[in-house]
Amino acid sequence: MNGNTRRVNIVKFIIALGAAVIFMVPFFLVILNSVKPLDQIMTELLALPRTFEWGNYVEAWKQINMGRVMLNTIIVTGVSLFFILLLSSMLAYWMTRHRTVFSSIFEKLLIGSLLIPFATVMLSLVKTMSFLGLTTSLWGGILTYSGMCIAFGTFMMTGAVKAVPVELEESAELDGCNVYQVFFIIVFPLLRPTLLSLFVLDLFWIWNDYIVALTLLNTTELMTLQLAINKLFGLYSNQWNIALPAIVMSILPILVINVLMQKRIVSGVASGALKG
Amino acid sequence: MSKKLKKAIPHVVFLGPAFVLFSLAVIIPFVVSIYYSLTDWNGISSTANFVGLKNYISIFTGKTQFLAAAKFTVLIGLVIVLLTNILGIALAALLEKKFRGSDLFRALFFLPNTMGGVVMGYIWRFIFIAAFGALGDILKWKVLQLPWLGTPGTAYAALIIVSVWQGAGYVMIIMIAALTGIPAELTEAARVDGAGSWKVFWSVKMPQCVPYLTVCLFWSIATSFKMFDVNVALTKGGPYGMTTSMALQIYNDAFTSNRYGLANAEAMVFFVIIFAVTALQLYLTGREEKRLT
Repeated sequence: MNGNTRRVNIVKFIIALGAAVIFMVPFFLVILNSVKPLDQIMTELLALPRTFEWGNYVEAWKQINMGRVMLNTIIVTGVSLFFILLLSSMLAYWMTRHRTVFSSIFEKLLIGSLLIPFATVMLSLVKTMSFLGLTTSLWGGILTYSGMCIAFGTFMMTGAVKAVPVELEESAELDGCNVYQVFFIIVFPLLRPTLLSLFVLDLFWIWNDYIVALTLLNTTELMTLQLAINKLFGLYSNQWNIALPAIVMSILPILVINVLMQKRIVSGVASGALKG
Repeated sequence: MSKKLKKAIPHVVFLGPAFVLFSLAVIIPFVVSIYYSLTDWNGISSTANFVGLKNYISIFTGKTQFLAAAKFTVLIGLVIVLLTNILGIALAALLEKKFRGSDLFRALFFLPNTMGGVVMGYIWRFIFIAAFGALGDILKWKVLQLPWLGTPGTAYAALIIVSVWQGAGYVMIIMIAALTGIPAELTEAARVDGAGSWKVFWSVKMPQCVPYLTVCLFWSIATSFKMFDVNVALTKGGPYGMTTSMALQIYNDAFTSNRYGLANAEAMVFFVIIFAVTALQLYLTGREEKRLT
């Protein structure tokens, strides 16, 4: 590395650091103030905490019913992801390898649906789900997330299926595998990298979603994290000593996933965007 | 079992469940919405009268608030799209080549994008309401002491700041992928011809990035036109309903004002707007891609 690139890199580092500080200040202030008593938040917002008020977290946990809310969010996200990954890859496989008139019509519907915003269908969706008796359990939310995400998932998975050599499947058939074995034993494991990208994308999407949850899971028993945060702010709009710890707890799982899966997230977003 | 039936079973197994879920979540509600948009149903009572295009006529003659919401959403959306892409491209240009800490910086700039709009909205609510005031007292800057979420102008600005802050990281990731995919010979050749870094970036690299820019534009237009979460958390559509997005207006009309039929008509207009704008954008950038290759 010569002196010139070195100087350029130092300048870049300083600019990036400055921008990163501005970007991160909101998180920093929220975390900092989440452990202060309310009067100190009001008077010394920018100062380091003098005492650590861990009781804020206990109170926020109780107010938001965090155990229940977190469990709901995990179940809804987890089960939806299971359906999305499984059904999208099955669909992508079948549409690529066994085209029929029906599957090409279905494919056109899926493409078209990518342009339908959720707000367009949400009103009738609630009526449809309650007609089927699905609004009293987490199933209403799960089936909605799954049904909505299949279109995008199928497009991502189609690219991966096309990369699987057909000869592999043909020789498995000759060895006596039926269609299900060919898919689940031979093809499915080869889709893993793309499945992981799709997993990351939809994980964030569902975990963070507010509008679907608002229309289908908006009761005390079914409430998800995003709804609970919104409700808490409605009740304690300026009681920052309860609201801030609740925010910190709600973003903690996302922060952990970001740290653990940094590389996968970045490559997943890039590949997802270009295939979608 | 007949042979034909036996052959049909795998088709049903592979396509059936996905088709059922997709119909349930998208196709059926979409068709039902079209029907209800032609009625005066309030969403609760047992009778819904067919009223033809009356709801659509009310929307376009300005008898409802939807046109105002549409105007607000489109205007703020354009500003958000422009700023998000400019900031995202700038960050991508800064972090394209690796240097010490560049991976960490990428992750940090992308972090807001991995979090939910509601939570982000409330984090910024704290910043605008409490932290700006505290900072303003120290720095004596008048602009920080304004009631940021209390006046229309500053509430617009607040929504723009939060949306750009959340979206720029996404554009950055895509554009880094674009820039690193450009063959080195291309930029080397331009440099040998005496082009400076600035010229190389705009005249050599950017034209190569047009397909990726298409993705960024598509994503940022769709996201900002569908604005809902940040809106709810930050301004709740206020002050005086001046910052109500289309999605929020639809929600309010259906569930707060019980004008369910009208809200469905608004939902259809919303769909047509999103469809038209994204289709137009894809057409224009598609034409540009063809011109450049």
